[in-house]
Amino acid sequence: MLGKLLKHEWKATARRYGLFYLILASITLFTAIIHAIPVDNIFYTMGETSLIVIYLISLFGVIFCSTGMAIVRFYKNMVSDEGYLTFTLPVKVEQLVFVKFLVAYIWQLVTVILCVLSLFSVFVVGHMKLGEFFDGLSYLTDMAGKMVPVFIVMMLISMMYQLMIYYLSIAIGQRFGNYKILASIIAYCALSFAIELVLMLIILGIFGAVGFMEMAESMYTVDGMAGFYLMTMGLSLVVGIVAYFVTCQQLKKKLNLV
Amino acid sequence: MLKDGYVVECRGLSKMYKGFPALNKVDVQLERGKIIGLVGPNGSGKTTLIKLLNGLLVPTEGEILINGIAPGPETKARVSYLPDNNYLSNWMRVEQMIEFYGDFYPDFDAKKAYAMLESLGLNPKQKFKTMSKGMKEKVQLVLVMSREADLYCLDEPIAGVDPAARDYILRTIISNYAEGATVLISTHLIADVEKVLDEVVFIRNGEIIRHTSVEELREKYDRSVDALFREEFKC
Repeated sequence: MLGKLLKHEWKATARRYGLFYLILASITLFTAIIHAIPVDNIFYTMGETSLIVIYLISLFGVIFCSTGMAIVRFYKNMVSDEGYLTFTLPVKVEQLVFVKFLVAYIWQLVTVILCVLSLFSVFVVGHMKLGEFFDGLSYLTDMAGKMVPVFIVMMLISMMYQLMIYYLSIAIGQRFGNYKILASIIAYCALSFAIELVLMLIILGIFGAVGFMEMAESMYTVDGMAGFYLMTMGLSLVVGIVAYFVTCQQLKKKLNLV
Repeated sequence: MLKDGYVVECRGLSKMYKGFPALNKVDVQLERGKIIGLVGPNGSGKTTLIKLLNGLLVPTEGEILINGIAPGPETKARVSYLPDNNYLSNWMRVEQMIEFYGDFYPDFDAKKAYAMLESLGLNPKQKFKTMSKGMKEKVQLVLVMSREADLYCLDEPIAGVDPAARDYILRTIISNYAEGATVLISTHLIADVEKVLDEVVFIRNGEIIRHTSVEELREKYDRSVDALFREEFKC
């Protein structure tokens, strides 16, 4: 059943994301061409600069919309009218939530990768030799040291954590019948605040156990900073996993499709 | 799965909404192979009971069993549900939904579905967003009745259709449900449905006030179910 759920979830989401990526490709191509044309004219340069700003805002918009689509998909297919079909399928709730999460997560990853490729296309292609680019990248990577893989792990875990918090908020909000959207928003705000508070208290507790001065000094080293970020991401991972199980529990024991 | 005994058993079943009892200590058993009308005025608890049977709501109190087990993936594989609202994804075509049903329900008969669509004059290649409300309801009915389920739960199957289509829908239901299965039809349009019913369950304010065979009802009260309903539930 998991395979079938995945198949249909891909089909249902691919059409929207596909269109989305087509728009991203069009914006990238247009911006890359304009940016690559060497015109020595102040008005052209001003226009090009404005276009670059619009392009960068668009990239943020793409990432924002990608998350938005994942949230809307979960809401529509699970707790609005389509939920009447979803929750009468002979599958476990855990499978439903897992598939929604997995497909949304992969789409978000694809979106990030495509945005990076887009930036590469606009700012590197036609402006520097590939060898120069990779030399520069290698230099930055050497400078940053451990922080590069740490930031990548942070991004991966942060995406997972955020998705699960959105899903949990919707799972809580659906308990409130005709006010489920408002309740979901309130649940999200409350959960975000509560989780950040608890995480901060845990981190302060760890700092206190090790010694504030020792911890503060270690933060000036790359190893120390990397260790700190990995610790916070580890806690976020645990919260994300707990959020998955609580989401399933809410949809199994407290489902209220009205 | 238990095939002897009742297909549905409710014991002390209650569902509360903000202190208001949508269902109040309902005890009811539904036998196999019967067409049962669940009749009551608007707000009496018909849809709440049907949603509980399908695991879309969780009871506040009591127990609900389908083929002897609580609602879950196993019971959902044996229950075919027609809700009183549209659940179809607008972007899909009819044939894609048929494929979807075929993937998840082993008892789904796609050939039967296509045959019913043809007899209803519906195009399998049409997208739901281009269909009228009535057409979507017919497609939903086709999907539900193309399964060989133990229990069919039809929530107001004829409420949104014209009188001419009602007879056709009832004939479709009667001629397409699996042998030995139970059909539970929730409705307040009793006059139309009465002729196909074996049993009737009267529900008011979340409580079952009568559960009897239609024949017994007519013999005892010398009135149609519709006439008795109007008397019982007159405002």
